[in-house]
Amino acid sequence: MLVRAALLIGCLIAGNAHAAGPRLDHLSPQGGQRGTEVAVTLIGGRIGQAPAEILFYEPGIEVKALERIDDNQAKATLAIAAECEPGIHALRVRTASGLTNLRTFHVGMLPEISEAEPNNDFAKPQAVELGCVINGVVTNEDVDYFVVEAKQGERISVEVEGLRLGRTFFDPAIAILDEQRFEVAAADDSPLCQQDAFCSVLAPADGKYIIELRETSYRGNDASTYRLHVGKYPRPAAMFPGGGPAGQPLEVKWLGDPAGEKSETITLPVEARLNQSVVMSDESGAAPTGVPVRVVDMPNVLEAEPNNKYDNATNAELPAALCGEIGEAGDVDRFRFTAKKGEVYDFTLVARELRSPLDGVVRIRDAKGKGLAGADDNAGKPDSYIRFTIPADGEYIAEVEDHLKQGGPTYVYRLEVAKPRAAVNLVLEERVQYEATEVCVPQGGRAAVMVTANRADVGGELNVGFGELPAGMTQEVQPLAGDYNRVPVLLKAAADAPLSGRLTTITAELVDKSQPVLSRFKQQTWLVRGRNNVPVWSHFADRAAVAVVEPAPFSITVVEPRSPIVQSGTKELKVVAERREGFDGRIAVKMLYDPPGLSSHQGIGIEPGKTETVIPLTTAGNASARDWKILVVAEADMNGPVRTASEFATLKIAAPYVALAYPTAATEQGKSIDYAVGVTVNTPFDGAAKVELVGLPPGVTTTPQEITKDSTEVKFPLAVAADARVGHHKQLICQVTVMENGEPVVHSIGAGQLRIEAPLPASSTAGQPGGTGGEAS
Amino acid sequence: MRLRTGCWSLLLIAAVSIASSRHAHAKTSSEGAKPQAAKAAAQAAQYASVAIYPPEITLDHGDDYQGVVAVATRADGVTLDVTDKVTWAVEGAARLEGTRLLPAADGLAVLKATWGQHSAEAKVKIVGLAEHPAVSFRNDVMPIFLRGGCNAGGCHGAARGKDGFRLGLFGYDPEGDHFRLTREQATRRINVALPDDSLLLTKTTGVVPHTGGKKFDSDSVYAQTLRKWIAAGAPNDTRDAPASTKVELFPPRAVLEGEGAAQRFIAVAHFADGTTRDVTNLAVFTTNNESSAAVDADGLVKAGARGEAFVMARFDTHTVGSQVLVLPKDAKFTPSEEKPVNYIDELVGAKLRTMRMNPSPVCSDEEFLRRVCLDVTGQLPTRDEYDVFMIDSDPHKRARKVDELLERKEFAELWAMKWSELLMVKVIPNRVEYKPMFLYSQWITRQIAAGVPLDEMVRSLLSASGGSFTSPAVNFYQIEPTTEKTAENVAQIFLGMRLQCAQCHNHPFDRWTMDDYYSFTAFFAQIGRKTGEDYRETIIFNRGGGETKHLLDGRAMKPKFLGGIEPDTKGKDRRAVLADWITSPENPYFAVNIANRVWAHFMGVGIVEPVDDVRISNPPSNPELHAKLGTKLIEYKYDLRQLVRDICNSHAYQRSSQPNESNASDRRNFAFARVRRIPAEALLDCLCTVTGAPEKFPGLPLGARAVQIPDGATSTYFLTTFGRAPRNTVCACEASAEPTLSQALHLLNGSAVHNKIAQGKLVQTWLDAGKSPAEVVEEIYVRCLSRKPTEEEAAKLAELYGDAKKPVKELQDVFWAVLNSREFLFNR
Repeated sequence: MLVRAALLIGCLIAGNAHAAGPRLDHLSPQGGQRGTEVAVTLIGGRIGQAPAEILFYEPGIEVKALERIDDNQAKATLAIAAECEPGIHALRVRTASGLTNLRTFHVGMLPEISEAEPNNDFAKPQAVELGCVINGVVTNEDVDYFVVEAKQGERISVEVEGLRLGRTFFDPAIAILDEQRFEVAAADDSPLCQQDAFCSVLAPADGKYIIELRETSYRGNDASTYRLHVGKYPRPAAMFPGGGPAGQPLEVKWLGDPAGEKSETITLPVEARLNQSVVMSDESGAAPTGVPVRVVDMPNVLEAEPNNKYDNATNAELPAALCGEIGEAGDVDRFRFTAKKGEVYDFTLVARELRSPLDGVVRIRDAKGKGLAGADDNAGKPDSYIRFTIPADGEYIAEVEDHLKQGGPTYVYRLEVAKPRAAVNLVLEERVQYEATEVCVPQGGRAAVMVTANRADVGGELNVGFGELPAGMTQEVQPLAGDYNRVPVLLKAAADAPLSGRLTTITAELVDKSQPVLSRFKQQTWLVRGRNNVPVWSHFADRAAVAVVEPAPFSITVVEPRSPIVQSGTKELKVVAERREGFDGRIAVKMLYDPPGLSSHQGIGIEPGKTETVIPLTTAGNASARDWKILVVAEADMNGPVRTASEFATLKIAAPYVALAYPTAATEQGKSIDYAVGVTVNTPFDGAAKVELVGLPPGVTTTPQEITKDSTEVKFPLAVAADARVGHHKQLICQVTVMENGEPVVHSIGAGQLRIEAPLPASSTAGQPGGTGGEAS
Repeated sequence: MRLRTGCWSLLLIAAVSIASSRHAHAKTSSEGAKPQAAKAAAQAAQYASVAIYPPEITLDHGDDYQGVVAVATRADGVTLDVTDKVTWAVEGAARLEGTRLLPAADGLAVLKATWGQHSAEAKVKIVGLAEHPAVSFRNDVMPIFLRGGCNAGGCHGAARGKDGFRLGLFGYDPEGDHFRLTREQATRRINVALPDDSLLLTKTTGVVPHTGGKKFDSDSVYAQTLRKWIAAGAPNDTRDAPASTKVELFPPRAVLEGEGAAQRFIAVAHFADGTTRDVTNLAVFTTNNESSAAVDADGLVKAGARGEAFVMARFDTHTVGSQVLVLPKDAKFTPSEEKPVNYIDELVGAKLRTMRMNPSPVCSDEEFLRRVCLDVTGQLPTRDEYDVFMIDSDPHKRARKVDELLERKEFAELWAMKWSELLMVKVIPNRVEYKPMFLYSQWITRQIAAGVPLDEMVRSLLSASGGSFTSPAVNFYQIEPTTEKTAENVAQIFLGMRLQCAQCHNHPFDRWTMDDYYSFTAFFAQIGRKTGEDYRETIIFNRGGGETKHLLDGRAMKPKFLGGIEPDTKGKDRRAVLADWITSPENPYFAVNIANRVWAHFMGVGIVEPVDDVRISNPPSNPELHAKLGTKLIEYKYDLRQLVRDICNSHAYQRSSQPNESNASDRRNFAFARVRRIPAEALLDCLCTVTGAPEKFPGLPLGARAVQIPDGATSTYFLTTFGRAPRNTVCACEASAEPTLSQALHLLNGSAVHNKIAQGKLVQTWLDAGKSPAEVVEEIYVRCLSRKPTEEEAAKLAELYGDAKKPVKELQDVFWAVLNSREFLFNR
């Protein structure tokens, strides 16, 4: 009986106490039709252990129910609103003990069906309605065929979401074939949807049309799932102009649809999201995914063709978004503007960002056409960027063309020209490589994260912190010095803070509030990586996920050093843990970040049964000498990682207290000498400091010496053995240990030199010292 | 020669008077040997004509001379060196000393040779008699180094020189050579004050020890030249000396009869200033067939065993050659009568007749069917195909079969594979990803399948720009990213030339110099590459800037066609300009190279062999046929299928593989069909087909054939063992058909044959379907060998299975034995 009770308790601890770090590997199904309710299985390690909430990054989906299936699966009932935007809806699941990684759910417009194998024979395709979303998978060497019927002139649109489902490096290719196997349309990669593809045609005749779907080089696998949207919907490839001022109506032209161009007036949102897009719809339906749109605070100037010469350039007034299309191969678009000497403008080409096929080259010329600046590609992307300072008052020409001199009706672009604006690009640093950091703060505990703040046209001290936080959670923010770009943020949850989560942004502002700063927070989730971990498909979010989770079974404290660490010095940082009863696991501890020039040991842990440890720190000679706010983070494996953080502590990095002047000494084997080192005390200290000379060659010994703040020299008696190693020894180092506030301040100061020579051999002729037998040295 | 024939009549009028008045003594004395003359006349009567070489002579200064030879030709083409037999006479401003023509006055002369009833004349022009040019380093001294072997790779031409002294390999760096001779070691190598103390002379003449030995006597013409040059102050004229523009070798062709027959050769160099010069004593003579036609240092060729050879002379950067045929003396030869099917048979026949060989007869229908199916589609004929073909009595059934096979997709796939080998289609980690490679492979297959003219395909390849997904042809530039190698590859693939040597020194066996190399490389100097949005995709584009620099002096080289002009490339994509030149019908190399590659596929050996080593020193075995195939390909608008049709319909292709008495020694003249091992991919496919046991290759569905594997990096043990091209280089030698022991062992002991027989279960199936054991044996024979077993074979095999009704094991053994037979492995 007793045994059983003990077992039961054990089970409770294992099952109940903690199951941190839930994962979300994939969703099944991966999408649903809007206006319907879908039951979705969420699959991933520990996700079924107390699932509490789904955090959606985009509006339109309501969670009706969320329940456990087993430890690694949960079931969610999602109600997709009728007006929900189609396409990608990113989400994270919050359980009682943590937040999952980010995955995407895909909202479609059409009824959902499943692929029914076998359908890999052209002659025996799966019959589907012209108006459905097929959920299927393309395994290795697999080809899936579907057949639809269409009337002449009816639009057949096919779009596949494969790579965009974010599961694996799946590169689908699609084709629409007629019954004689002739290709009516085919697409492998469509610029609008990257490695995914769409094709859209008007049926040339009444009849059956076979849709072929495969991996482009027949290399699918079991994770190569897809959602194939088959319907009569319009499928434009581009929109012109690709954006406009926030909150304003915008007359746009839809380009690339087989039924021809269509104009429409849309209203741009007042506050645009990061992945803002617009969906085209008509009486036959709506496209399954949208076309990206830019929402900016500058007016559009639309090109007026012909504008391919200097004298017919379209006139523009800056700032403006110069909008155009490189309509045909060899086309060049030119815009003329007036500017004053000294004005600085950023010319930012926005084309591929809008998924235009254009790989644009931008040039700036003077009024006569003389080239002044040019750019192709920027930051590894095809969109170009130039910062240009106007050399003299007058007229100038901005010019856009394709890098390969190609062109076409969907080669749209916006050349956004504006004066530089103070901005900070904020990134929540990765804790684990290739994994977007989520923040889980244990009730009554702390969590710490690093934020990188890259300034654009702004200097000075910044305050960087999270926006609105869950109830009961607070943050402690340290100002970020003007000459540094990384800052720790400490988040704390009250013991009674309710378990909850939210998506929140990170902002930066100048401490002195001298000018407004645009905060641009962006978090990349690497959904699919290629060879050498190249990002292939990522999700970018403008908010980070923060949650209050169950209490951690331990807390840690860093003992604030009472004396500095000097440049080229070492120090031990003491960390103390408080273990909750019943927890005796190893707690890995490390510095959240190392100030520049300092390195801390990464592999330290508080071992089971212990409650404290030290983290060795060393500094380089050029470590940045100032007070640094440091944090120690701790992690334990409790059926998944449980993390917490210490409070801030101040670590002072100081210049060395003493400087040493080393002589180059020489001696012979067996001949002891004194080695005198000059001492300059730069920072006076109390009492005596111990000085040890290390790095002596084998066979040479000495004894530690002491110096005081008044010393000018320290002398080491070197005992040189008869077999001391001959040679030029260049790595003699003094370790100077000054005691301050009861703590050692350890310096390592190098480097002295000592030459040891072999004595001249005794002359072969007795009585002739220094005879001729010796080898010249 | 400086003057064109048109001017001669005018000049001659003026010259005759001078010649007759001042040089009457020039008539050589051959009076007083009447019986000999009668004998000579009798011999001469057997010959059809006599010719003098060089046919036109210019003597450009007072010290100039020109050696001459006379060659008589018999009606059957046999030639005889009659330099010593003819009666020489000079009319005009020159005189003859032995066989050397020397100037006597400025003006014109006529050199005459008479032999029996035959006579020949050579026109001679003499200018600048008063001039005695100084010794030229470039044109007099440097050639001595080449002739003496001083600047060869084994001697001072080695990368680090020899014994402390280095010369540019084969004279590629005259400026550097002059520097090293005159400046590198002060007065040691050259002593202007005491020329005879110069190491250059003492070493070469053996006065002081020389690792390379004594090269020539101290009173030789070479020593004199060196001495004169040193005495003159060892001047450097590397920049000013007129460059040699071409070299001629005379006679252009010799047909020697009987072992020991000899022929003198004369080399004449032409220079940029219009002068010519007898360089017989400065040229390096070589032969490509020592046993048939050995050549000595002075250009004397001696006939050896029956065969053909190419005798070459090299002077400066020029190599020229003459064909020498050696025929047995008085061999009885009656040309066989056979109506040629097309130009191929005419030209092959003509060459064979010259060689006094008769071709083997045309092969049987069975042999033809198997051969043509393997060659055109890489597959064996099926049983049905065999039956249909054998009972067909249409006299044109062979031609019909060829047409039918050419329309099959397998033809396109086979040639796509061959092109993929040349273009090195394969995955290269971190450079060429699977997808672009796959798209490239598909692109090539589509080009062939759609019958895109080869010139168009090559133009698309060479001038390709864009992304490697959307324009798969750009992968050509991604597979090989370096400029120099790209240029070398283009020359080798499309022009059949190997330029590699000329990267570091002038080509030793061809005309290509470093200038040519870097000028050709310049066509690829402006290729830009950037990674596409998808990291697997590379975008190749024309940067519009960038040059190649000459290795020696860092000169930026202007793009120049090989052996052609410097085109205007301003504002153009240089590659497109080059592509247009390569594929233009006027290009002398492209069409013949492609045609020769096609020919080699069907005939087992190229007319130029190796097919991608076209150079002067590796001439075509049948130049007329070689040229004609190229012309035809152009005429067919580069339609591969039409050329294949011509080849496959010719008797030359359809010959039996059994040689006859007259042609047994033939290797390169297509007198009989060459027996060839079936290439690796086709062999594996055949093995799979005949056993009914398909193979599974990664990335391809079950049943896909080895020929279809897109990726050169994908292979199997079988394919590797049987010599699948690893596609590491563009060399045609990569795919190997050499039989090896491991191949035999793999077939005998390995899993391939045994497992496939078991896996395919064909023997059981046939027996279960009611076939008798004898019928099964026949089935096996027809499937594998495209013939029925002979009566003898059938009887022997019947012993094996006796009266058994379903002797599965025994018949599987028969199957195994047939598949292991040479008859199965070879295409004969």
